[in-house]
Amino acid sequence: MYMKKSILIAAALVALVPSFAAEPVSVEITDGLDNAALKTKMELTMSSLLTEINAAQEEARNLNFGKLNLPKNVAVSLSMLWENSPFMCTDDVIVEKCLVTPNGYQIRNIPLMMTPRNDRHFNESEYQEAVISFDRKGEVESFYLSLDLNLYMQVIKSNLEVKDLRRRELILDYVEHFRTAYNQKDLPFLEQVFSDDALIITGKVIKRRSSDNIPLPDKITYKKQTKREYLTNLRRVFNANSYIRVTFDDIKVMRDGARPNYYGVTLHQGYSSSSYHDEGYVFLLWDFTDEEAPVVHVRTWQPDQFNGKPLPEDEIFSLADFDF
Amino acid sequence: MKLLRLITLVAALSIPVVLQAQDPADAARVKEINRIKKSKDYLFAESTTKDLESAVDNALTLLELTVEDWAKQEGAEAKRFVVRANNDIETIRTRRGDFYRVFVYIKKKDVLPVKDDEVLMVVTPSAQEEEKKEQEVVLSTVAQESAVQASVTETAAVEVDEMVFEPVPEPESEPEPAIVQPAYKLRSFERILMQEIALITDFNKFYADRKATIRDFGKYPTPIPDGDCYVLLYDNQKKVQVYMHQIDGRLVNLWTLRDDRIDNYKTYRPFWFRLK
Repeated sequence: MYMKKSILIAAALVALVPSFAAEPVSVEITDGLDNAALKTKMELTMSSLLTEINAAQEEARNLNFGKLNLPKNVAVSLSMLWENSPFMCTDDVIVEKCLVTPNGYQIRNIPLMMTPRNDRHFNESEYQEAVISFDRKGEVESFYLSLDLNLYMQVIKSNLEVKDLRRRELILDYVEHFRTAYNQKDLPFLEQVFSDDALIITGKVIKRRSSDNIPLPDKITYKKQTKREYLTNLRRVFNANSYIRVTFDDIKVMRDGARPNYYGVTLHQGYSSSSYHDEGYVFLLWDFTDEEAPVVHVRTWQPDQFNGKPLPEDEIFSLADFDF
Repeated sequence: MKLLRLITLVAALSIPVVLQAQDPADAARVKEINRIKKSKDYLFAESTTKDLESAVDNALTLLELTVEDWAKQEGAEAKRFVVRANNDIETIRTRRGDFYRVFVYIKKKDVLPVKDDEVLMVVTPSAQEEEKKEQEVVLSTVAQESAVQASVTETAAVEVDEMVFEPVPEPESEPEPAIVQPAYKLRSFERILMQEIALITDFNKFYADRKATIRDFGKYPTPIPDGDCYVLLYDNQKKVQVYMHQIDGRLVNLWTLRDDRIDNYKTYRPFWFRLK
């Protein structure tokens, strides 16, 4: 009897421990949103989400979306992010302004610390910042990780062609979303972001040997695909791999002189999946004519090494290589 | 007894939570950051990176952009702006795990957008103007960059070995007349050095930590060498009061960005150092 009582008391005490483990995260939106009810709704949603993230990380479990009332696509994409690497919000009080986007609202700079699993290759900074987008009714539309700040600063500091802050942020916002789409296997987003007549070019290094088995200089061959072919192949890759991890560690943004709504973005990309890893240059030709729905007309990929040396810069695809 | 053991076990499980509690000083800084972010009176920016220098540099760059954007929204056709006083940019530094978080901010009232057609000149002040509490830093039409600088809200006493406070001879010449000089452009690493120097408590340690970048240094009464050299002036409380760069025959006060002279600070003593 005494033993049973002790066990019950101990169990009750242990049950209390998790409630002390994760501090609730409070969120305050300071500016950019006049509608008080909408503001409160978004604050509560973010608070619940970030508190659950911290609790799940603390308790070493998967995210529990039961009480969060998130759209299914957001829950799926969060699960994908979690699969790559669990994370936690570093601050227990978030104070940020609200940005107005073409589709609704956005809260940026949510500080996260990634806690990668032991078995995963993690080649990004442990500190990341998240972006949460809402539609006009205050429902969460997406949750993704922003580009590394150093990359953002590269664009801000060095590129004279992208002077307008708003346009810079829009481009980087979409590049962020583009990267996250691969990590979260978000085919609907990729379906939407590639124009129907998008040109996809993939380079491949061919290692050659003579008939005497003497190595010959490498050769790069390029293969053209339509949007449909590319996304079909990508679907197979997504289905075959439990995780996909895309990172960017260098970025250049160039504006087309004759067409100011067209931008060439060159990224140095690292790609990891459960079965494969490579690094190369991705070039994207973005069309921001419709800022609410920018599209990619061209996507190219090239290896970053050729014959044991870095690919020469003049070999990397850029705006100048395309006549459109 | 067994119950006591169980309770102890549960308490032990809770200990890691308590140990993870934030350092109180850091918590206070975070609270201050959030207060400023909630206020409508400030413009701010922040950066969190693995190394302090990048965090400071990024935060200041982002603040420049934020101020420029805000100035445009206020209706000014500003490509440049004037900061009312040099030390108006404040910095708060905290940690996020192993990362440095640098938060920089300025009061909106201390930012004045400038129209392109205004001609501004840099003028070397006379000694009396140095006594004014509020100073204006102006950009020449040659300089295209903003005049945003970092200053540190927290200053630390600097331990100085063998300080000798002997009277400094009176200058023999008359003060130089006000002349127009090209604007001095503060470089990112200088802002960072200013922050570091204002926080150090031991200059010898500062040098030891930066042997890779500092060629040599000297203290009063060792004469300041000719050529490119940084000069710090300490008061008798051993606090850094003035930070100058000697270059191209000038001595530029890096907080005011104006030409200055050591003998304007008769009770201070100099340290100098040269970079590699």
